[in-house]
Amino acid sequence: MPNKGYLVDTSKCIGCRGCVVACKQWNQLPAERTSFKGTYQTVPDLTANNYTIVTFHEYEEDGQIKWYFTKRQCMHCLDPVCLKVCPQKAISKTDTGAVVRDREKCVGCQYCAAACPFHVPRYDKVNDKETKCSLCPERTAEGELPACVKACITGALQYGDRDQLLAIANKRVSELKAEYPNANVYGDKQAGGTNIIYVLADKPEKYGFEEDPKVSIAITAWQDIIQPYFPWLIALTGAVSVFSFFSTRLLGVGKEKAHEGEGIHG
Amino acid sequence: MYDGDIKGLLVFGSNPFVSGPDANKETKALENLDWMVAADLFETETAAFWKKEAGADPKKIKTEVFFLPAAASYEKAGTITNSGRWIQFRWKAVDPVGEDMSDLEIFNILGKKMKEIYKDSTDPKDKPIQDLVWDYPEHDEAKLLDEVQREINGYDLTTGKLMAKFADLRDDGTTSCGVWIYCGMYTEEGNKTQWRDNSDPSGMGVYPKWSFAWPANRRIVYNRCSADPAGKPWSEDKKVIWWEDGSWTGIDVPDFIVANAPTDPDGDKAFIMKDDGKGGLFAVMADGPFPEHYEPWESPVKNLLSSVQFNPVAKIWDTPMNPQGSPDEYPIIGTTYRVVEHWQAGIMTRNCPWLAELMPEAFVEISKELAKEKGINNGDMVTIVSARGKVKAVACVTPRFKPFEMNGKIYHEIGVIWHYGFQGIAKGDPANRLTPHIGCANSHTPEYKAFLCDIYKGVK
Ligand code: SF4
Ligand code: SF4
Repeated sequence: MPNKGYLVDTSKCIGCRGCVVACKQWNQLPAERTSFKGTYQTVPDLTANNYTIVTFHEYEEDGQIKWYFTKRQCMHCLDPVCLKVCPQKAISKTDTGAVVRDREKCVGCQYCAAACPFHVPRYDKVNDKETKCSLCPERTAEGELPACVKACITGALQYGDRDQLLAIANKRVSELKAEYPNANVYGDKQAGGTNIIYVLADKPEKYGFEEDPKVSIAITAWQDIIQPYFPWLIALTGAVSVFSFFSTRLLGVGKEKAHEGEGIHG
Repeated sequence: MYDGDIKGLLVFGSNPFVSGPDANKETKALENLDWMVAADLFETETAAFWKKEAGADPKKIKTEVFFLPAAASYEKAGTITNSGRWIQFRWKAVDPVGEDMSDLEIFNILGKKMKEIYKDSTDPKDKPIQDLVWDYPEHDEAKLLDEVQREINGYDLTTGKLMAKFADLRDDGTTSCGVWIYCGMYTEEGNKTQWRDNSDPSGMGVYPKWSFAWPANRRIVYNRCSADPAGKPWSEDKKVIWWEDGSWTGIDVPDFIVANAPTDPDGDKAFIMKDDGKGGLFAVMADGPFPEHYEPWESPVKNLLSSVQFNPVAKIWDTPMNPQGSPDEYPIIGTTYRVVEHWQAGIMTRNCPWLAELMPEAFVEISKELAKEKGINNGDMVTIVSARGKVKAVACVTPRFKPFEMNGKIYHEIGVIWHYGFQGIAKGDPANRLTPHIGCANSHTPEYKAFLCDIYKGVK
């Protein structure tokens, strides 16, 4: 089976957030209490109840207003670090390359969140599980489009084979170049390549993306040294402090992220 | 209503507390009612106008309010008419929740009850109610709807058969019809609003058998215009109706007298609804015939394009609670608009948790320049005030708004999102408390989109 994903063509996105509501509806995610803080982006970041969000970035350059909308969610990496670090083997890839989680196996240790170069997984405090977009495998297996893609009215989201999406994206970028000289394809090589491909009309950072997202060095240590012993480590009384050591010392970033996830949805 | 002449109000799927211009006045007017019957999916601000949260004193209000739970569009069958003139049937998707009923059923019950109450009255003013024929079936929504649709189409009262077309309607009491343009939608051939044949024999996107197009299932009005005076199509690619071998032919129902050959005296008259049969560049309108620029009723500038400042034939309700603001007191240009997350007066969408999450409260968009002048930071709570009212909203300071330079002076504009009210999950003050009661000259459409106001930081 070829790798499948979808294209997010930000140059066609109107920021309607139909995709966001469709995702919440399909996954039956409760609404969160929000307030308007001076931006249309009333959900500031992904949360355990928001597997996808649309970001709004506003710039004024050379007397021109630029208002960039883009959908954010799990990138469905070709070589997902989250899968590698998961001590419970709760994360796997479907035959079309969607990165999915087995809820039963997940123990909520949040290592995937710490490892993810795109800062995606969110901790669901209520159920003690990590959560994220799954690319709707239960829909695609039945020949249906992912819920978000189905809802998009502008054609900004297109589901298909990764190769084809890349070809469409490259063509679109070459068209956009005339008006948007910084237009680029994102996801073709970032973090080793992802199944979600973006057409960005401007530099990635203008959309809140990292140009070259990196995996923490500590992750490698975790994989090579500790992970093989994880099953019996977890049984140890001292396990908590071992986790704590790794969280604070080796995976400092991860600790922060894990907290952020908690804070927003709590 | 404000003057106390109107005693009762049926308000179905409408929420003037939020959507009415000069909403403070519209709300005040509700206090004069003896009774109100409101039907909606959720309790609207209008239905709850008497509550403390509405700014009213419940003790002082004597209005009796009946709130009826209404079925949503997908909980009932019925028709919708679009701007392409198609009247399309829609089947019910799910049964209504709880005691919800379709508007049609509610009206049926009200009608029957009214006849019952007035049946023994000897007051001549009640005669119309007594004479009203109201024998619709009860407790069977599908049957009720079917009967009403047939009645709107109309009957030949001699034969009891459904009318085939409006041209057969008579004014001698031998035929009946509810709405002449819909005559032909439900004939002895069946209910044509239910037609769902998406074939397009002409290949021009006509779809003659998809729902019913009023009038007469005509898909393109004034289609005589597609041919020249001699009846020859102006364009071979876009031919609709044409004269061929001594008669008219084509792909649509002709919109002219087909008995007229192109060479007949009226054979080139393409506009059947006009007395002279001709199209006109100038229509008879209250403020025609030439287009003219007028400033809004409240404007900070002098009209530079015309010596007349404001449309002299616009409707101004010179009544209490509709004062005009002056630019000295209210120097800022105000407008109102919507966001995609909410629908109109918002009672459906403001009660949807997922939509409330995305657009949770009222806000006002202002330029960076104005924000600086007024000491307002992005996200601050601010107050906007016009001659008619005052609302609070969250400030959205954005470069998308820019001051205007007009006649050498700088003017600021602000944009207030208007869907909000005090009910539901997503709440806020109704922006229409700021707008005036002015009607456009021809249709009396309110002048919602331009008014004068001022803005300041905080809530005072
Ligand atoms: S984006 Fe993060 S969570 Fe998604 S597959 Fe890649 S590493 Fe895993
Ligand atoms: S539905 Fe499509 S257009 Fe709307 S916000 Fe999502 S990606 Fe953009």
